[in-house]
Amino acid sequence: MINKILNFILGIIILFLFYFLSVGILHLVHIQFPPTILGLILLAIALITGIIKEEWIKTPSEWLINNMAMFLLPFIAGLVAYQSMILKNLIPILLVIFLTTTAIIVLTGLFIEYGTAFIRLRHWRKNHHD
Amino acid sequence: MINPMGLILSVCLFKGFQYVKIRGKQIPFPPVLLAGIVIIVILKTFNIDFATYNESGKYLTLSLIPAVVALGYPIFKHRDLLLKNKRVIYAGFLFATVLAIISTYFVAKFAHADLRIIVSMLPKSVTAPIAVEISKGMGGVPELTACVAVLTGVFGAVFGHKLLQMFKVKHDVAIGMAMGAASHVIGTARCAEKGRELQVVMASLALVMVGILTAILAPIFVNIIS
Repeated sequence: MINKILNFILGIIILFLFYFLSVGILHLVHIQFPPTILGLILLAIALITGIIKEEWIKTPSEWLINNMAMFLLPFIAGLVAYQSMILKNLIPILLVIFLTTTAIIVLTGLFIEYGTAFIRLRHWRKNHHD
Repeated sequence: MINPMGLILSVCLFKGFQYVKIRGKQIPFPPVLLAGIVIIVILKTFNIDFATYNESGKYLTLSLIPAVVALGYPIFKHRDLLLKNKRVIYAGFLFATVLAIISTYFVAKFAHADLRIIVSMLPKSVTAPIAVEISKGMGGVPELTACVAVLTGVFGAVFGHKLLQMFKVKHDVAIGMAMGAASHVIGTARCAEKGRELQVVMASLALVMVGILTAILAPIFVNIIS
């Protein structure tokens, strides 16, 4: 039990270390980029190269990802401060959500569906020419 | 002594709605949206300041830091899929990202939204924790970004599979990528409800990859238009 708790805390510390590492790197190279996103890229690289072992961060990572939506609640509660701005732009906001989401889902779906079908067709043709 | 009200209220409401959703099956709205609405109503009715709520609520925001970094883990776990059908998949990530940024800009512009609103909405197809980071960096309103991202997720999750069926998209890889790219975690959860493992994996990869690409491309786009 105690081992599990320590393991969890260690995992969280590792995740924070990747964040601070990213903040440092971005500060040095003077690039405007969200440090958490650089952190996730670096974490993936560290896991693939084996610098970080999967079991060190597995449990806390899965727990954090499963509860990620909960961490957004302060942002939603904070919406109240922007009430007038949102009400003024309500129709454009809703239009954007409906129209662009429909377009992205349908077009991306078709893109991948026909993209992979095209590649399979080419493979098939190549194999049947030989 | 800090006021623990914000934290307790948020956790209890979120976990409560999550529990109801697990037991009560078909509610199309995610727990975060329902809990958020109840919190707003409570703060308004009892005239509680957002600052009072945020005294302890801010620890939830702090938890977003390790949570976003943790998204590197699913990339590692499914790395073999990123190496299969490479060209189409990567072209798909890029296609979805560019389409999301450009279509959002033009629809918002056409509907006469204010520039700050447009900037806040550009990363809306990305999972809200990442979208908030991108929005902050571009001078958007992170609160609006979070809310629009959640609503985008809900819309896509509710109508996505029907739309794809209508246009005869049948492949699980294609369905998963479309759902993940357009409506991130909430769309991914919907794929999980359908019990399609390959859809879930592709959707979770798409949501992280589109997040990374949007973080790179959206600020460049904002520089061009302003």
